[in-house]
Amino acid sequence: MTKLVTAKEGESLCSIAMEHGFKNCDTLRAEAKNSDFLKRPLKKGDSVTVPDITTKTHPSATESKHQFKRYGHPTPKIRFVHGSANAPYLDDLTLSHIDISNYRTNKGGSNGTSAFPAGFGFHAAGDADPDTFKVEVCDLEKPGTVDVVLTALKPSVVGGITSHINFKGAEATKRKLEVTCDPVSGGNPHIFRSAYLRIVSDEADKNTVPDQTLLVTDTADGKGTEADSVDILDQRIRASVQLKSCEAADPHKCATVTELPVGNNKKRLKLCLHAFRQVPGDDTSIVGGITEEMLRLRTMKWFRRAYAQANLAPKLVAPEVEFVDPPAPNMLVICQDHGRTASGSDASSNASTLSFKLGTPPGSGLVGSILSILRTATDPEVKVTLTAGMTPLQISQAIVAALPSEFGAQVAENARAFNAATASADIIITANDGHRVVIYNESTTDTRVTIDVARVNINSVISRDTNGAVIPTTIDFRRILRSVTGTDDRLDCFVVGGFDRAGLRGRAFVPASDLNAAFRPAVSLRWAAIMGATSSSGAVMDGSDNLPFTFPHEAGHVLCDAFHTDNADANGPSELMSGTGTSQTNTVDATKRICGGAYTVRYAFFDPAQNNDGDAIFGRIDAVDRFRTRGANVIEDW
Amino acid sequence: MDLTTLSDVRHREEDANRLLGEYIYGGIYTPPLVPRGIALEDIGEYIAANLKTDDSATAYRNTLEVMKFYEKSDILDVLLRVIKLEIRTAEDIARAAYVIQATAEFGSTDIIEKANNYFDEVLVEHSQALDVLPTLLETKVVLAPNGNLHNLENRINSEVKKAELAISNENTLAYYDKLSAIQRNTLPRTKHALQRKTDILAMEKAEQQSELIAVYLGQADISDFYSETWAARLLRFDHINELSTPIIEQLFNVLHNTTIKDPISSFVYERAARAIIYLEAELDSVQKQKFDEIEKAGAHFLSDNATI
Repeated sequence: MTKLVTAKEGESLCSIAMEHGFKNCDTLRAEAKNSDFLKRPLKKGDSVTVPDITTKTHPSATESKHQFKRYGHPTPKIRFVHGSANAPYLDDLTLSHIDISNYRTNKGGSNGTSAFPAGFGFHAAGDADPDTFKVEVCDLEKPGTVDVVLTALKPSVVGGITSHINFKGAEATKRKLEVTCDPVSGGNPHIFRSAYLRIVSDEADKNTVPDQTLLVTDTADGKGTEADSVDILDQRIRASVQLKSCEAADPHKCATVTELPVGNNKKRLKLCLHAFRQVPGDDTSIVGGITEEMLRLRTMKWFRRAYAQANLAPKLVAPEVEFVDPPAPNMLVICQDHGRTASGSDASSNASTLSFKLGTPPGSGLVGSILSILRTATDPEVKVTLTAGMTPLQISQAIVAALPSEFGAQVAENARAFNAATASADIIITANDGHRVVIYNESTTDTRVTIDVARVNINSVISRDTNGAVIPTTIDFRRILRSVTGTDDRLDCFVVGGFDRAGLRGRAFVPASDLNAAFRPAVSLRWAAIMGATSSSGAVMDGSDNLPFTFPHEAGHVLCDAFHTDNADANGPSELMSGTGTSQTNTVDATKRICGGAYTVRYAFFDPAQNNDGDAIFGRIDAVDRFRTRGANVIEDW
Repeated sequence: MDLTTLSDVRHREEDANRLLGEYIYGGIYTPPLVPRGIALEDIGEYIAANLKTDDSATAYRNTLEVMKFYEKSDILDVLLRVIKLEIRTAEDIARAAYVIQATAEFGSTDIIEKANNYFDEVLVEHSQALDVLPTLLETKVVLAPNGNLHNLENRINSEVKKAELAISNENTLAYYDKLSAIQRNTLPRTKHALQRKTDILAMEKAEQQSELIAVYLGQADISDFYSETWAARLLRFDHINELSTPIIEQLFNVLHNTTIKDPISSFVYERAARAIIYLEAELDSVQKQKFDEIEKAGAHFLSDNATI
């Protein structure tokens, strides 16, 4: 009578057949109810139909010795191990997951600078990287060596159930690694292990050590379809060793397989992108010709690849990717950088004032000087009298009180510059009917107060901080960041056309949580990055592979609340947070590593002691840990 | 106090090089204070070996700050190499402007005059000068009492007229408004700062030192990062050379007359106290207690952690 057998992890038709007395899987394959399993490996839970075994009587004389040959051997066992220097191979732990390596692919050792060992057996340089692994096969049948195939599997969700399936065609080919396993030295001749292996997330790493790396990467195209949703950290690694006794035709011979998930303690990094229009309301005028597809591709390709080594993956959260109008010139800045209080008097010792007018932007198609048309006597003027000792915040509040009723305003006190006694303040003025507001003719007669209006050229954003003003930063930067209300629970990335310094590609706005309270940035001015669409090194945010790690780099500043690595550190120049400038192209030595676990790198960051406000120090850090702990505000569970 | 103890040397060459590298090439993350405790010869060697003519303008600005703190006039020639190169970009203009500033601080009279001419004839007239106007305006203040604002003022006035004629949309209107705001606000303020600096330099020593202390403590209408550093250098020079009235005494008067009640008074007290300590005098126990208790936020030029 046939029976149903539920397949366990790693079983094959052959292994089940042999367990039930068959020579190989031929009989099971001939069973029509098993037709689903002929072209794929068994999965845990598959119901395999096992036919009745045909028994045969062989009469022989008693009291004599007869020889019978048993067909079928115990099927090979296969597992992933890291290995160890001295423990017997049986004592090595079986791995429960495999992480993307943080090392340069051709490097190993406790400081990340030794050559990565190619041979079999234990090597300290291979052992030092906790993300290396070996495939171990126990095979009683075979002498010599054993061949194992490693493949990356992608998740497939059908009816709410997630399984893992093979990539197809060329995508499958590049995610496959054939390795040979040698007998372990000094032990059981039926135990075989591979050389040290790694999983890597991009082709440059794969191509550097092609025989010892398995590519586990994305399929992103930026179109927002299934291809974008294949996360590196959702994939699994399968190792399979073929059963030679299986008589099925290639490529469907039975194999013993084992699988492990990629990554461990995975988290998602919440971010959204805001790209500026050059012309209000015109979605065909996005800076640098940027499209939503390009931004999605940048995020789901290079951002994802870089952060997989930290077990982090980007997740676009509302509004995901949006286009926003260029900032209106409607932000007043009181006492930029210096934050001085008012003297209350002008140069002639009369009471000082501050004033400006509120107008509207011109329509299109105007030619020549149109000031007389634009600037009419009916434009409201706002004027306040300043008194001695008024702080920028108090001046701002006086301005709000003096606004005509058809206007509203938001006031924000900025962080103090490191060399200032008080903070500057910003006021964004809006019209109640929603029209764009243009502030002009701003002026003050006060001998100590200064007034500025943020007039941002979205293709040439002013980026030069003055001394000690890295946190309150430039007027342009603040106006851009204030285009969206920050929430502190996501990374806001703004895309502008470019910066006044063409070499600049992006700028991060860190939470600066080690600074004393008065010097820390407020909401909307932290957990953010401003990226240029282009730079003097070419495109930064388009759909190409130019400057692949610039966007991840700027986000990295925010996540780890730190600056750059020490270039004198042997691993400093290859870190994602390298101060050498992010790499223009992806290579094995590109600026893309995030140190963690095995070796540390010297990073610069604000000194927690803050003996002098703004003091920074260098210190060795586990960057992965710092990214995940300092960046907790914008990170959520998988 | 003499020039060898501007800051007690406490870093070996290797550490000194690292600290200088962090400061000069730290970009936006440059620490707010020039690293203290570095031997003068290490500074000279580091800058001579590392400062390249195509380094960022910010690196030149930071180098100038190092020169000011350590009074390193002997490395001016390293910076002056920039002046011989073609100026093509706004970054080139900004870099050259900082070299002009260094010349104003450390150059001889004839070099300063040449620098002034170069500034007016090359930098101000450059097609991209408008992209770095704040730096150019600041440089004119640094050059004072040498030179004047005529060329730069003329350039700004002429560009405002051109911008007005070019208004045709929101972007060109914003550009006009930006330039006219500089003409209306920044230019007069720069003139005022330039004049105040000239006036202060012409004062009798006692009056001058009183003014300089007000500037350094952020109490003057021209107080900002540059002018505070300028005032501090002059005060330190006078103190080292024992010129005129005791500066320490005036700083003690600031402590005596300051009631700590808000961030501003706290800032003034701290900065004055730090200056006293830096200039090698001692706070009494009450002053020390107050200094220890306030939230520190006023460290600037006259400050050296090793002495606190």
